[in-house]
Amino acid sequence: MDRPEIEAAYERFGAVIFRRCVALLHDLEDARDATQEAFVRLVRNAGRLDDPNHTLPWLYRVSTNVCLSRLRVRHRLQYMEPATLPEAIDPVGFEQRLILNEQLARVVEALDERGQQVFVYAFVDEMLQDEIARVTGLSRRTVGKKIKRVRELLAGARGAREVVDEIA
Amino acid sequence: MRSRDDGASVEMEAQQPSDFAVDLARLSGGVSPEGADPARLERRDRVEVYFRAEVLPGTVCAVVAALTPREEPRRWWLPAWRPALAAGALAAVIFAVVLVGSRLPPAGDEVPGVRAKGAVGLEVFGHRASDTFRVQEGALLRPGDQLKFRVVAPGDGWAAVFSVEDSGRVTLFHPLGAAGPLRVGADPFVPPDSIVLDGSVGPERVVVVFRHEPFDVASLARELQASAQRAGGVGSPLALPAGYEQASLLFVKAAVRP
Repeated sequence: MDRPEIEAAYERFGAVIFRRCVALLHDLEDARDATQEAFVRLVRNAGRLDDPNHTLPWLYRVSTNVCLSRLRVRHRLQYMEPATLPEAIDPVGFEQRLILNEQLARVVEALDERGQQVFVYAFVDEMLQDEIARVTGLSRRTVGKKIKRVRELLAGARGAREVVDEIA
Repeated sequence: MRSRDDGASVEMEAQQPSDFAVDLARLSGGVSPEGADPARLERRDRVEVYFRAEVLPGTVCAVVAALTPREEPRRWWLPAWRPALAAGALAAVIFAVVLVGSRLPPAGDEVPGVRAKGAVGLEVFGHRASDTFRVQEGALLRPGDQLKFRVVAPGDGWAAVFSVEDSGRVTLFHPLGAAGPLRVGADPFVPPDSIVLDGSVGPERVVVVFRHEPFDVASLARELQASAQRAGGVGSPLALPAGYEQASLLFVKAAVRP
């Protein structure tokens, strides 16, 4: 790809990646870095950027993997607190971010990579099971099982709502 | 807003299209599917507007740099040249054996004035909080990041390390505060001081310049500035007067988090 093609592709797909990175990382600077990393991976590995049916699952997979990898590092370093995010571009709202952040910390600690990905698609992106199967390449039945496992895990966690109430 | 912590989100999805469905519709050139939550659409639109206004302009250069294949040096053994080269080599061997073979120096003697020529090299290492990392071409850095350099010279000579910003502003990194360049040898050297990036943002190129003879650092800084201004930025390596060798690395400084 030459420079104009790369710029056009970045303009077209970068926003989708960035939005997902903000939603997962809750940190603009980190999201900015992750977007760049994910986009470079996308272009280097995806041959058909013209067809959204092929590209979009790629976008979701790559941006999810990049963000989860960063979250695992954060978790190892024990700083999973959400960073300050301007209200104007908060993709989910402050309360939901606190909830998601706590859930992510638990999921990153307790689930394997596939389980973490399924959590993101089901609970952050709110995707249908068919859509998750399409993005992950897993069968719908396997996706259903993994979602059940995530729910069991989250049900055993301290109520996220309690955390919000405590802070409020 | 749909609740995400009650474990029921997946069943509720049937009522509203997911972000995935909205993205697919928009990337395919269509409008958002019916039933999409207006508040959610508005939030995602705000993030996208922010991306186009604040993120894309400052990072597109780094993305392009990371994805643009570097020009490979021309290789003489490329298939198209093979027959011509083979014929040329054969002719040269015959010429050497028949005409000048008797004049060759004895085995083991060095031919005066001929030596293998190396190239100047530059490696950049960054340090942020507790992380130390190698800075790659096109990397995204932040004001406050500390940089260290490792310079490899092709032999005895003189070197200096500069930073050139897209605006043409030139800063001498090494030797700090000196009027002349550093004396260098064939061994790699690491200047002792770290550089802390200032608050300016945008593309920036670190250039190590080498010459076998001493040179005037201030004059060379002016050459670099003029070269950047002629080129309209530092996206490509900068032109230097004859006699100088250089290696450089482009990175992009982004603003600190709000």
